[in-house]
Amino acid sequence: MSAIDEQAAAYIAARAAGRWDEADQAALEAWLAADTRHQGAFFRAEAAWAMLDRASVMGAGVTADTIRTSPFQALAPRPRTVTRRQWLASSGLIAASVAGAALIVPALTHQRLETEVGELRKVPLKDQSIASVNTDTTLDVALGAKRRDIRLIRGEAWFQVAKDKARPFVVEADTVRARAVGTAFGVRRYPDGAEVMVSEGVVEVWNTQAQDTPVRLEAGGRVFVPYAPQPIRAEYAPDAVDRRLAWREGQIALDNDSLSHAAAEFNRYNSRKIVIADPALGEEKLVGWFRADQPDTFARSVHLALDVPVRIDDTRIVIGAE
Amino acid sequence: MSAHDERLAFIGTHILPHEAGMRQWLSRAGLSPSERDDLVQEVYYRLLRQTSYAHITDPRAYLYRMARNLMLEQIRKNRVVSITTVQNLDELGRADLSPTPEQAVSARRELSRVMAFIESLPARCKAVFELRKVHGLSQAETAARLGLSENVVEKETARGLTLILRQVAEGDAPVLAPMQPARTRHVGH
Repeated sequence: MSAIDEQAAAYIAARAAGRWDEADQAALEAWLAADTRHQGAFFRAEAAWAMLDRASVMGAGVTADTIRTSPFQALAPRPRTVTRRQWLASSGLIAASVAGAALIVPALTHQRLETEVGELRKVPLKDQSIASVNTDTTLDVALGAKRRDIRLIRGEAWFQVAKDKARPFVVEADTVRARAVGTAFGVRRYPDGAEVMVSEGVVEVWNTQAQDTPVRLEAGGRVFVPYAPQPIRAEYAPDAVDRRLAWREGQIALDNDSLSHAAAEFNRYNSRKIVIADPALGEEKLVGWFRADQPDTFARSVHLALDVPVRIDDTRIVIGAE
Repeated sequence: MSAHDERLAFIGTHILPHEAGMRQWLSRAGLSPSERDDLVQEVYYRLLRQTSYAHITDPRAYLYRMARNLMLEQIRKNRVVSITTVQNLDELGRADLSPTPEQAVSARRELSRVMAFIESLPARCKAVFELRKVHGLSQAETAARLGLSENVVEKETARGLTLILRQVAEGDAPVLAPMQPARTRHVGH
């Protein structure tokens, strides 16, 4: 129920008050004309008001005098509710058991992490950091006494870095470097450069081939660094960073992204590829959250949203008339 | 009864009782509360625009179908689809439209529903609604009976109607004691 519904009820009450004049009627009509939702809400409230008239049969043969003594002074007993303390006690119990479960996850030392197409792994590292590894990715982890080095060979990963001032945490993607102390950030490799996105704390990003000082990125910041030395420009885009990291929950987030971009994203995760048969459709814009491993659901959404034919078979998904 | 009154009576009897179910169905389909409010208002607007309801044989199925079509219209217009919307649109469309056994509307059931709405109001609100709706008093008469100003009665009327509309939306109208001994029903294997 919305504020509109409450306003509709107020108009009904005012009209039933017996003091309704032309100015009131004009005000009501203006309100109704302003929005079809107002008309819908008013019609609904009017129907409910009329429905209540059915109660009049209960009054037949009983004069109103019998309920003359103000009945509204009798207050109903308050319902018993769970106290805040009881609630906190039980939620504490749940938190404790969850923490207990987290302890049995084995940590890993020095190794290569790989994922297949469509695979998503969350790996605790020995230093208490966590690596979320996206689809079709290879990376090497080397945790030394002075440095923590991660080499992103292909694909994309996000790191929740455990604080350790003595050992900087550096991710390497070709000539691009991103360094953090205690923070959370993601790195994605492209053919021509790497993208760094920061969800918490501060990360320094630089290109080993360039003489520039590192770019400082704070939470919500994002930068694309080409492997060939070129000036780089960071941007502050927290919503975009959130969406681009939706893969950690196995999701793809679209916010006015083109259909061709969306198809490319789904194709990263699935061997059954999405093909856009009609090139004119590629620029259509879409909004929504989807499961990365369900390209068929996405295709059905596109069918609904754009009203275009979609054909789904075992090997591919074709959007648009061929 | 004017034609408009007849239409209001139809809505009160055949549509309002299914509104809560429709709202639950819409939220399962992935709509946010505000999207749901907008859509429900649009549903009533479409009903308002129809001159006759003679063609509606199964009001519940009709209501759900209309909501579903409006949802599709919205999707096409805004191109905003969430995974749950799409997954549930078809499934819900089928599953929820089978006729339910207790669809027959009896005057007695309706009356007990209306009385339960009034019964559930806070004390002062309830007194106002009893005098106005059960005993048919005007606002001025109600104010005089209760020793309240007319403004207060009007305010209580708006407040009570809002509370009742909220129950229509949420479907949690308290059930009054049956008005005649209920027949025992055996449920189970």
